[in-house]
Formats: sequence, C-alpha cells, structure tokens
Amino acid sequence: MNAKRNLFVYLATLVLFFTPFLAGAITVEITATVPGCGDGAIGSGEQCEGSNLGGSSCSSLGFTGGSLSCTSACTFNTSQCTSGSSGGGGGGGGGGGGGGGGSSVPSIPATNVVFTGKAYPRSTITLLKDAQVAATTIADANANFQMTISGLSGGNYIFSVYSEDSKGIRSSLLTFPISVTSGVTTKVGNIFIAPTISTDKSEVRRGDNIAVFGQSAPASEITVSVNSEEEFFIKKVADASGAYLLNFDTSVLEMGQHQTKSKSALNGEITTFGKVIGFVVGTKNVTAELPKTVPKGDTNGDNKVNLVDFSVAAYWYKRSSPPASADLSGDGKVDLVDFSIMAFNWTG
Amino acid sequence: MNTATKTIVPILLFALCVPLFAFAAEIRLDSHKVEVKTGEQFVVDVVVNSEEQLNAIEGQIVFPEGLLSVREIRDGNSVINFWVEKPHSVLPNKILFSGITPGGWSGANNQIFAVVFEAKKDGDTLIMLQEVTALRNDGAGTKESISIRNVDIVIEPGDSKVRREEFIDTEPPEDFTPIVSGDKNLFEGKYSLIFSAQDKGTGILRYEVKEFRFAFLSFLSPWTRTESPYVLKDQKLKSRVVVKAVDNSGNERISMITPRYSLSWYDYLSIFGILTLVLAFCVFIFKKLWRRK
Repeated sequence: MNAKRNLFVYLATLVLFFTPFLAGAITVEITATVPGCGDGAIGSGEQCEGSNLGGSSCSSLGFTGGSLSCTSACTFNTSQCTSGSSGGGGGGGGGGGGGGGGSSVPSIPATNVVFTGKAYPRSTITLLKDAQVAATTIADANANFQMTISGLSGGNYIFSVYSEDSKGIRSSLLTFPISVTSGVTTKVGNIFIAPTISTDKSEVRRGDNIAVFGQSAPASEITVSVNSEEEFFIKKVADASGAYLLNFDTSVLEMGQHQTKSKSALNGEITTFGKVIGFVVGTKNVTAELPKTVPKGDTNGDNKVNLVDFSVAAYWYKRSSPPASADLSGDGKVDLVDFSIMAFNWTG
Repeated sequence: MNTATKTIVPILLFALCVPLFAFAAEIRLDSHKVEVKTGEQFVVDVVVNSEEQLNAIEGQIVFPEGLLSVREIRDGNSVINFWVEKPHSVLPNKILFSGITPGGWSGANNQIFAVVFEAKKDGDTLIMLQEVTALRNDGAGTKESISIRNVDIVIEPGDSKVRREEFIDTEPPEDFTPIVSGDKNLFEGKYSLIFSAQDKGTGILRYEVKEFRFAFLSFLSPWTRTESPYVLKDQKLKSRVVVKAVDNSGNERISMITPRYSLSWYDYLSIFGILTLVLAFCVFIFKKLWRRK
C-alpha cells in the first residue's frame, strides 16, 4: 500500500516536471510565453501586440484619421495615420463639437513632434531622433516637407535632419535639441536645410574658371563663399529646380589650397553655411569627383555612418592595431577624435 | 590712485576679459545644495555651456574618498547620444565618462549626466572635474578650449538617517531596434548584436539578452546580462533574440528580432528526438516502478 502511494507520488512528480515538454510537443504556441513583446498580450511597456491595438486608433493618438498598426517591437506604427489640416494654430476651435453623440472615451493625449521646413525639390529628407533614423519623407516640388513622430516620452531629445539632392549629394546635418513635454504636440517649423555644394575641379589652373554648384529651394538666393587670403561672397539665384551654378574666375585667388561653402535665403529665412569643399589653385586642371557619398566613418561600407560603425569603433577603442576604417584620424589608435569625426559624418 | 580709479580699473579689466571667457566652452558641476548633513544624499549635475558646436566630450570627476560615496549615476536626459564610456566609478573616488552626439550641440546648460552622492563624514569637500576634453563638430575633432567650474560641499554632522534623493520614473526605456552585424572588424567577423536604447528618465542601467530557437523552450534560456555589441551564441542565425533594456528605476523595454533563417527539418528532428528520449525515459521509469510494485 505504502509502495503504491510512493509510486503515485513519484509519477505525479515526473508528470509535473515534464508537462511543459509534452504540452509543447502538442501545441507549439503554448503558454510558455516570451515575456514582453511577442507574447500575444499587451504587457507593461507595450503599446500594442500584433493586431491588438488595445482600443487605440489614429484619432485617439491625436491624428485626424488613417489606419493604425503595430510594429514588431509592439509600438504603434502611425505612418499610415494622417495629420489632416495643419490646424492653423488654435483659432476657433469650434466646429467639431456637435457630432459627438455617443460615449466618448477620454484618451491620453499623444506626445508628438511635427517638423516642417524646406529642403530641395523632390528630395529625400531623413529625420534622426537621438542619432537614430526616426522617419524619412520626400519634399514636394517647392522643397517643402512635413514629418510627424509620435510615441515619445517627455524629456530632452536631439533631433537632426539631412537631405540628399538630385545628384545624391548629402547636405550637412542640421541638429536641434528639443525639450518635449509629455502629452503635448511640439511643432518645429521653419527648418531650412543648407544647400549642397560641389565643384567641377579639385585643382584649377590659376586664371581658369571653377564651377561651384549644388541645390537648394527653388528661387532661393544662394551666397557662395570662396575662402582665400580675402573671403569672396558671390550671390546667385537658384532656378525652379533649386539648382545653382557659379562660374568663379580664379585669377583673383592665390596659388594654394582654398575652400568654398554656400548658404541659402528665401522669404526671410536663411540657412547656415553647409558643407565645406576644398580645391587647389595650381598649374593644371584636375576634374573633381562628386563629393563622396560614402562618408568618412563608414567602417562597413554600407554608405551609412550609424550605430554599427560606432560599435566597430567602440570595439577598437584603446586597443592596439585598429583597422584603418576605424582609425579615422590615422594616428594608430581609436580615441575620442575618431569618434568626433564619425559623429560629424553621421547619417543614422 | 584715487578711489574712483581703484574701482574703475578692475571693472574695465573684467569687461575686457569677459569676451575671452564667453567664447570658450564651460563645463561645470552644479549642486542645489552647498551644505549637507552626514547621511544626506545630493545631486551634482555635469553641465556644459558652449558657443561652438561640440560633438564629443570626455573627462573624470574626482572627490575625497572618505567623505562621499556615489549612490547613483543618471544619464537619462543627457545631450550625449552614445557613450564610449558610460559614466561609471572606476575607483571609489573617481568617475570616468566619454561620449558623442552626432551632429553636435551648442548653447547653455546642456546636461551631460548627474551623480547622486551620499555624504559619509563631516568636513569640507571639493568635487572636481579633471582631464576634460571637448571636441568641436568640425569633422576634424578640433579641441575646444574649456573652462572648468568645480563645486564645494560642506558636510556637517547629522543623524545616521539617510535622506534620499528620490526620482520617480515609471516610464520604460524607449522602443529600440537591435541590429545583427557580421562586420569583419568586429569579433573577427562573428555575428553580433548591436543595440542602444534611450531612457529619458533615470537612464539605462543594463541590457539583458536571451536566444532561443523554440518559443515553448524559451524558459530554458537564461537572460544574460550584456552590453552592445553582443556576440550571438547562435551563429547560424536561426534563433529568436530578445533584448531587454532596464532603466535605473527598474522599468523594462523588450525588443525581439526574428531569426534570419528558418529552422530546417533536422532542427525539428533533433528537438523531436530529445522529446522522444524524455518520453522514453518516462515510460522506462514508469515500467520499472510498476514492476517493482
């Protein structure tokens, strides 16, 4: 009798121990869940799970319409939500009220940031949030763009934007720290991305012309600076496609290394100077390649400078014999200077 | 020299020097308290003002070992996006930090991080910044001239009760996307996982990773505390990988990446084989015990 009881207890223990394995063999998507995203339920820190949006919609997040979905990281994907009529700032408010009717569920206001500005006609604009790509969009024919990002926490962010012109030349990174308040839509307007710039020669025979060209917003006034002993400022107007061209007579320049950069102004808005391009005034003409789209700091050759490249450099930080792709200053070691060069060329 | 001259000369000298200081970056230690009691906690912020755009900064904070101890380091609201060396204590009286901000930043009162100290013993203490380097966002890593402002704290005798510096943070870290990299310059080309989460509250405390091929056996894979980059155990990239970012208040954000390659029939066969063996073992035990009866 006692042995029978012992046997029963023994078997019960065995069954209990192996239940997860047996159950797993029957139904793969068993209750043996991965805690967090992917477990089929909206857990703490998750906004949604698969098709389960937890009752949220584009309108409950502060958009005027569209369809909300869920990302693989269990956060809302608001890319298909529409922001509707920009609102024109406050005013009237009225309207809407009427319809209401049914029981409206009070929703927590979303924390959004809306970016508007000018780049180049039909150009791709990339928005970085704390140095990682948060959104991309295409500018219209007048170079205007708008981007909205949602689901932020309250706090200090560093946002950056850059654009690529019709020749694939990247602008400089325009950075702005913003303090975001939880539950509030922050609008960042009047962003004006600096013009792109290239030259047709890397070396020019003194007295010959050098072409300085690039792209900005249509009809904007471009100021080109050519830096010598004396700095020359020449103004040009961009055409309907935003392109500008300056043929600069180098007879006024000394022999040696020079630099050029440009900025743009339109309707009272003005950019900072963009990237700086170097050229030599010498005894012969050497055709220049377009500014490299593979920036310094791209350690893995994917035409981007981002977290992967940072990780490669961080791996070699203070280690001996780093690869040339990580040792950007070429001093035989990876230190803060290399990270600074990488940060300057960052694309996200 | 009459009284008027005595007053005007220093003012003129000061006025002449102001522009010089205004153009240099200033890094300073800020504390809301200059007098504390033993057992009391207080926050010291590391703050930078700069006219020039900076994108990289490094340095160290030192303080008298017997008088103060570090209770917490908060980097939640930092202008630094990526830490080369996350602020950490290398000695009981020394904190190291080094980080970058792609695109750079300038202006006044940019917070780098904050340290929560606890006063251990009464006395006068000077908390100092040392070996600070700030680099311009100019593509060449040019050093910016900096001025440093340290902070003096007077510790007076108090009771033994600890007065905490509370910071309520209930928000989890922000959503993040880990990247699988097979870069030849990283771990000799082995596949590794690269990730970085942001937390606007108390800052990221740690990351944990787990890999598993079968969801129903995920409980057998332990969470491994790690840092980015993390060398993947499954170099065949057939496992799901889950990364957990935990902030200093214990809030968590989990991000999962799906396997790059799907499991083949022999992977299923092997797990089926193991399960069969387990089952056979159970039957064997059952029969043996049954016979004994």
